[in-house]
Amino acid sequence: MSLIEGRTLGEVRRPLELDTDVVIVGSGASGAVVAAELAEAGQKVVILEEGPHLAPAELARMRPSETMRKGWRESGMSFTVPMGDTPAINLMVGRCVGGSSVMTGGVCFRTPDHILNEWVSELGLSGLSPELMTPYFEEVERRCHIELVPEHMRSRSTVLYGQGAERLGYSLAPNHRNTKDCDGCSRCNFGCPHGAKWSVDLTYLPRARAAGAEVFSDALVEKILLHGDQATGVSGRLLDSEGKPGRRFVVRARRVVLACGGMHTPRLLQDSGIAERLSAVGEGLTLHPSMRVMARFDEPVYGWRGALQSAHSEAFIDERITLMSVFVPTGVLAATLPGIGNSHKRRAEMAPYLAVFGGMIHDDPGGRVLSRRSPLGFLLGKTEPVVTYRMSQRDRQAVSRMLRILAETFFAAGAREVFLPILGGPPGFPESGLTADELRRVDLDKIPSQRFECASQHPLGSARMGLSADDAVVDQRGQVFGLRELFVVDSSILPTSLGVNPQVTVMAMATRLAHQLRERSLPIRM
Amino acid sequence: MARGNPLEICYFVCVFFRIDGEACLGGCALGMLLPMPSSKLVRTERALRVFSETLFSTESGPPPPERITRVVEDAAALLAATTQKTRRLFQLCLFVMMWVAPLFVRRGPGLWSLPLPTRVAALEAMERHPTGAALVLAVKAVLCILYYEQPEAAVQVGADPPCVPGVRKSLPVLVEGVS
Repeated sequence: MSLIEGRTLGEVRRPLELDTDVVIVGSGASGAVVAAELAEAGQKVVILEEGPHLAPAELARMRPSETMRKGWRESGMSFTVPMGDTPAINLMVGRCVGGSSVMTGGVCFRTPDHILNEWVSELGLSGLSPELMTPYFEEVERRCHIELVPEHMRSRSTVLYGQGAERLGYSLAPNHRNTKDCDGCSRCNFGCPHGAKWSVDLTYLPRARAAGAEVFSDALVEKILLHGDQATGVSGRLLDSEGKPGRRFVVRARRVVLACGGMHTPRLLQDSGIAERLSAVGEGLTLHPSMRVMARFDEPVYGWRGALQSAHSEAFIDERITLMSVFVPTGVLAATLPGIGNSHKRRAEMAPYLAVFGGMIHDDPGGRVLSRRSPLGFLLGKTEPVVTYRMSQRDRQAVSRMLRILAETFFAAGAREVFLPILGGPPGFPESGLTADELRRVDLDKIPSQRFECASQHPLGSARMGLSADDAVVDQRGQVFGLRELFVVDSSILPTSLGVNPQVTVMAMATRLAHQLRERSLPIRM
Repeated sequence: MARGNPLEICYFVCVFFRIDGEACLGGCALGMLLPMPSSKLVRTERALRVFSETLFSTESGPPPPERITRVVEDAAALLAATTQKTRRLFQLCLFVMMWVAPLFVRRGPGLWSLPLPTRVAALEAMERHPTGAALVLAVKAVLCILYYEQPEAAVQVGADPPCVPGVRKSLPVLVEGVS
């Protein structure tokens, strides 16, 4: 049996009980990697995924909003709670078999060397040097068919931006993506309708399945079972077709591996009483806050024709800014332009003439996943965790700088006007885009941060790796401090933000940890 | 029509003038403590209809009713897939627009009771206000995604019809053996 849909098992009243060697919570970029490696090493593996299984054929039939509803957490409507001078950040995270890897733009970067060197030299994580990590990057790249996006697949939107960049003295580099035979229909974020994106549901999970692993969808894990200081399994509820918790399940395991991501791994540790022993659980979250600027050209752009994310620029990496090509659906373009009624229609008709380019900040750790046991977590986070985020001053300055770079580059490319992601428009320009002269008159540093539209797809570092339980949650082997047989392998263990899309980093780290785990003998069953 | 209670009103008055994390948390916490009336979803759908008709109207009036109905049904389905926290925040955004937007054009509360051109003017004025813009965008984003998914609406603004081709790859997908 390969994939068992939890919703089909809900009729029976008695709890579902399973015994296995290793239970993995989460089937995304890290959980799938560990599952494949351990199952192929001969271990009996059960993977529990809270979300449904969305096969490519099903994704192909879905409208984007249906994918949002079925495959994104909170239908894509999660927001951080801003603390102080900080924007509310829209958190978009996948919730399906394959996790966020199904919903990414497919952009793949190795962890930058300067980040790995920082982890080694400043945090003492000696196993994460560029030399030691290289074989893991290579393995992930081979298995996920990571390739360069050819120039002919760039959208006109990206080409125009690239021309502007050249005129200003910097350039775009092609992205690497985990794709094969991509048609460039620009809807990667809603699941590839062609099966051209090699997300883990098409690569690692079939390997795990072929080696005997069982994948359960619609299975919400609520608690880690402990016997003294040893993890012995997990318990939770199967979800019905409407996502409501039903039949209970218990999975007893000799080893427990958490792979539920930067928001839910800390949540599970908190709910299981483990956070009380480790003060770093849920703390230090980074998000890579990202924004986009739209620009109107005289010529038709049809920015949705081409690869969604085909090129980037690291020209401003020293300022902690990575620029990235992107596009958004017509509906999102129309929504973020001002106007109601006729004025909305007039602006929506500009969609074919709009180019879009974005960027992300290599941010400081300003986020926090609130425990359900905290007063506000109890009141607000009954089902989904509450995430607060306080943007540092230097990140806020980087936001202003990034928006100005994006806008000026579009003007260098010949844009007529630009639309900045500022709610209610920049001061003095509430209704329209900005010309180049008007942009020069706007002081972006003085705009309250709450007025920026901001998004994140990369919650990282909320159960970070380190040398001591004083300021970290897991050691270099991914084992939770003070507990035996409990491991974390997902994006929450990353010690800092990266400044680049984290998919390959997460998968390479998971590969490294899985190789260590398969060499480590399993304990006697409790 | 979307209606609130005194605690919700207090929350939005507080948020309207100073939106920040602490205020949001306090207001949300109060909101979460309130019981959810059973008729809330019906009222939400009515408010979504009023907002959609206004947002997508042209010189010739609102779009055909069947298009608005599809948007409202899809929005209700999208909301139904979220947790109570998100649903309630979205409903509160709707509620405050229904009641507060008319004040921007010096009319009494109740957006639904105004003629269409006045509704348009009220929401436009609210959208120009920094905090009002956040509330309008929250609802507008959802409705625009749903509206422009409709091929006829997309084509009207010059966009390509949605790309939804069939699967053409023979990858080792996980579908076979689903039980």
